[in-house]
Amino acid sequence: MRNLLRLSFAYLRYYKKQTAALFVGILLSAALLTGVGSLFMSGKEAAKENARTEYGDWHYETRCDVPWFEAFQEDVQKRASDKENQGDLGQTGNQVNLNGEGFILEKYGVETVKKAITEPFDIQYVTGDDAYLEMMDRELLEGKMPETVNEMAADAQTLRNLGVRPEPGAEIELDGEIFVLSGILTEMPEKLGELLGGSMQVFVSPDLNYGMNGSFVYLKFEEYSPTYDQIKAFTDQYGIDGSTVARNNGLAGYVGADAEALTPSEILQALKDPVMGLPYVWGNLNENEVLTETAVLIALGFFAVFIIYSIFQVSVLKRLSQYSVMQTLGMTDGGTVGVLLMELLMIFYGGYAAGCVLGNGIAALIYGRVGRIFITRNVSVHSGVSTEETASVLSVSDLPDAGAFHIDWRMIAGGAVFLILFLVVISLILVRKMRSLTLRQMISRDTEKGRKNRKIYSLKHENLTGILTKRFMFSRKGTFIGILLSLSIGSVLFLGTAYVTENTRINNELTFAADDGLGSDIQVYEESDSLSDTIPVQTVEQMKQIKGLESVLPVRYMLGEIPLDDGTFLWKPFYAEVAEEEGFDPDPVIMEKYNGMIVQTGEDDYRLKVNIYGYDDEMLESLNDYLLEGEIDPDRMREENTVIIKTLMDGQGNYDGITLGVGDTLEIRTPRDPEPEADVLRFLGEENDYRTNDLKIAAMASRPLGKVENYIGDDGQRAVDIIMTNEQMEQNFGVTGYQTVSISLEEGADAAAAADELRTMVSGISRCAVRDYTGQIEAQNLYLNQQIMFFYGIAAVLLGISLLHIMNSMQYLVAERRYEFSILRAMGITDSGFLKMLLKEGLRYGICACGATVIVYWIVQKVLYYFMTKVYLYLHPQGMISSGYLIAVAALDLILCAGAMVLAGRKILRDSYLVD
Amino acid sequence: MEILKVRQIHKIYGEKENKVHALKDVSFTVRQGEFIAIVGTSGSGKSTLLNLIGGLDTPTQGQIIIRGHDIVALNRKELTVFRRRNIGFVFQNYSLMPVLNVYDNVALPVTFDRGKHVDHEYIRELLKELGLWEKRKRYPNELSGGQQQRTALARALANKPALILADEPTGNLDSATTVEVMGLLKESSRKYSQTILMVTHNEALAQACDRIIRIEDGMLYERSSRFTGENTAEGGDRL
Repeated sequence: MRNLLRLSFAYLRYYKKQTAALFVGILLSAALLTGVGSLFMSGKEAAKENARTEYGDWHYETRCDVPWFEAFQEDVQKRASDKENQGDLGQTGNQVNLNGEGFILEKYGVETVKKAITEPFDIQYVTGDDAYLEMMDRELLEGKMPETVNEMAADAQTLRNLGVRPEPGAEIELDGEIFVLSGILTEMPEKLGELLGGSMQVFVSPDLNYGMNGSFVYLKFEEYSPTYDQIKAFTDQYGIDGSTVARNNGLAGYVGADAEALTPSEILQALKDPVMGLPYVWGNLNENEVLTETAVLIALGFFAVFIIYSIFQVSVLKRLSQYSVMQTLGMTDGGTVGVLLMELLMIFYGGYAAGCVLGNGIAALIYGRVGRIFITRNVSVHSGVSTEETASVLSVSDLPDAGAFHIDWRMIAGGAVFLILFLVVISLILVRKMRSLTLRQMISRDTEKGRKNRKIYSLKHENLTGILTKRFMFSRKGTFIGILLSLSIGSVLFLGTAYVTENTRINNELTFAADDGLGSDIQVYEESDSLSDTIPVQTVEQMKQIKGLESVLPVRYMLGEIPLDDGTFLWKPFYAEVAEEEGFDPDPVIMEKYNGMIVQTGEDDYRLKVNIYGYDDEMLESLNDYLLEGEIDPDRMREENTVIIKTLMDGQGNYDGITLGVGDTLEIRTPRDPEPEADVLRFLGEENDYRTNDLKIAAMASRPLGKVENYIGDDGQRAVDIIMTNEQMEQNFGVTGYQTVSISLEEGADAAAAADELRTMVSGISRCAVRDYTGQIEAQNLYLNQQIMFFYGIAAVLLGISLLHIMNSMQYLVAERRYEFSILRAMGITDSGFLKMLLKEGLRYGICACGATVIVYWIVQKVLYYFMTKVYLYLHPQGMISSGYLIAVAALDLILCAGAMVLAGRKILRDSYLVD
Repeated sequence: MEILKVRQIHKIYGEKENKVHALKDVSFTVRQGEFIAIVGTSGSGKSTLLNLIGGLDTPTQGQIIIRGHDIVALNRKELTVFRRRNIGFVFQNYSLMPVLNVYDNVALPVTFDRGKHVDHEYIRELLKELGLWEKRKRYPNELSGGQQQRTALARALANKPALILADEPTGNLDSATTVEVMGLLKESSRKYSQTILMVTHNEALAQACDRIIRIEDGMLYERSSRFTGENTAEGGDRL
């Protein structure tokens, strides 16, 4: 063992350059792997802590005024007394740390609901123990908790709703009873209210009893292992009916509180089903981006292995003859594996540790500056401009603070184990490679197999150096292909990252403008569901006179219905109204006001509600970014009265739910009266209540712009929109007023002043509001730019590592043939001729590497494209990466291969012939 | 005609206490067509002398004149060109290009001279003469040691050089092949009036040469010419 160590150390010291290359390779790979791991983990931790704040610090909740709870409490008591006997003072506050069969319960809190009222609001009278209050982050800000039956404590928001002065001693009248405010608490977790069905909470004395108490226990398990397994063990142990246990959905995804998303057989079944396929499986397993991040880390891990293998292989092949001499002297294969592994491990310890420090140091810096880009955004897609709330939810300023940077120790340890395992595999592979050669072959480094090519090149070629380089390159095809693949892998990873980044940027921009409705700086819109409430044309003309506005884009609106007969509509499960699926219920408001989104009128016949928009020419031009089929030409649309149809998109990014295409004619029914009766809006009126137009489809689009959400809604995916020019809206439906106006500001214009002026201008218009999005757009842009910069940063590091690898491989190729080169030089090849020969070989390798890159990348791009379109539902991703990237990578490959060859050649020229 | 003049050559390796005086004041001349053996014990300086004559190394002092050109005074590029046109090498380990077949190995040095066409007739003659014509499409690792050394000899002759420098050309060969290769070297020397300097430590082989130059401790101390019967040493007489 000591001898192995000594030998390995001697090799490391002797081959300093190879050792340094391997050290740098391991260092950068470890830095990338562990740094990215820590960034992901920090983002997850921030999101988890945010969820804890929003939903409360508990995992499960169930009724506890049932027999099992006594047994449970006995166990808790027993545990506490055991601890006390052992003198363990580690248990603090409300910690219980109850160890059961398969679970560790960290904390539990009990809430008792004394009474629930519905007027003036949904309010629950509750009591809670200290643990419950701590879990829900309910702190007493002022006063005390209720002690007598006429005392009550509440938060300031609830008191405001009740119209009660937030001062202890104030009187509260509820449900005919008078209470005295004893204390003011912090508000309940923001989203816990949603879980409670929007109920408010007031705290009362435990002595207050209406005879209808209901007690609930909130459980918090230790989070090192999935809490789902723990609650199962917990319910098994105490005989609790699992169906009565409620889960904290906000926190569930971060603590493994969900049941297994899909069983292996379900995954298999889904993969076989063309309707579900991979997107369904991925979507189910990818909660909080766990799968995506794991895939990224695995890819980085394998990249690290590949780089280490490739660099080390070069080092070993260089001294193959020495190993053979040692084997001749009696060293066994096991001994050789030992020497190789020892060498690798010695470099690995230093390189990996330094890499972790470097990677996490840089990651901490990045996280400190742009940490929010790593926080999973669980925000539902913003749906237009209808409410201020949706806009604020969208805003990145609403994202939680990035919090502290966390080092992912599990990633560091796991990465080390993963890489060490592969170091063993690498050593075994290399020794296996040696075994395939005879000792003589190894000593003479003659690893070449017999050749079949019997061609005499000098008969037709005056210059044999070119032939010589070709023969050197292609004589060992396996090695040649291996080198090409290894040269291309870094470029492929870089191109893949750049491709995804580029499409993410495009998707962000398009989503920004369409789904998020943030395409314009200021929106003026009607907050009304009455078709007669519109912004007059004159007002819009006046808006155009305001200084500092770059564009004013008004949108006209009409609600309509289109018949989809004879099997034109294929996606029945898409709408709850016709899906006939249990638990999938239609929106009650849309059902009530508009008789649902869709009505089935025959076996294959449906009538679908549609949004009808009128855009001006500039907006129609912008719609080209979302074009699926056909052509958008506003003049022709006006001339031929043709329209654009925004069709449906499913969860896999398919748009073929309705078999309508360019050239087909649509029949559109719209209410005649601008202030229609309720039944007319439900499209249940008399035939003469409606106007019918037949309009030809000129184009199909994937998203609308300037949406109106006040009627049947428009989330950009589930509604069909008919889009035409504003002139056609007037001509076809008599609509002259506008529903929304999208306004863009000139560079440097004062947004607040413009918004104020607009507010003044529309102050007389019924239910017309103005919303300034500039702050949100700025924040969003900053966020997206940071995200994109991070992706590019990762791509650049990958490229950097692979460049190091390319240089190393090229130098090896030259070093491997030092002897042959010295013969050539002895025979009279000039220095310039020699360098020219190497330059040619380098360029040839560069060209071949580019070819290999293109081929491998083409396959990778296909996979990425599939994921972007079918899984992540990117809008209009580019089918091909920008040629600029390909050209840059090709140029870099060529320069590096040629440069590294020439540099290595110059080094050979500096040495005497006699060295070899 | 004198083809090579070596004048007062000194070669010193290393500095101060590591200094090794590998060659000391070596002078001699070689005439066209001579087949000379340079003999000496291991470390005597014979290979150093051969490397200096071949321009693979530079002397610390002295002149090496080949066909009237002092190769010590040539710059790197001139020396390279001069070497490929005037000197052929035969090494103990053959030093063939493993990726080229016999024919291309032989033609290779000729192709380094841009504009100079390969004389395929001559190469064919050489290969036939050396018994390699049938093997011309074989690769070095498909040949025996003797065949490889014959290929190396053909390659050395391909450029019709002024001088062939052979460093232990039979060192890797069995006795039968050694005799065969020596016969070829002698035959080449005779047929093409080729001047050959061969380093060897095999006294018997040396005896087969026209002349023997002995080196011991970096000094040339014996000379005789069976070819001309004249004393061709210059400078100090170390008999």
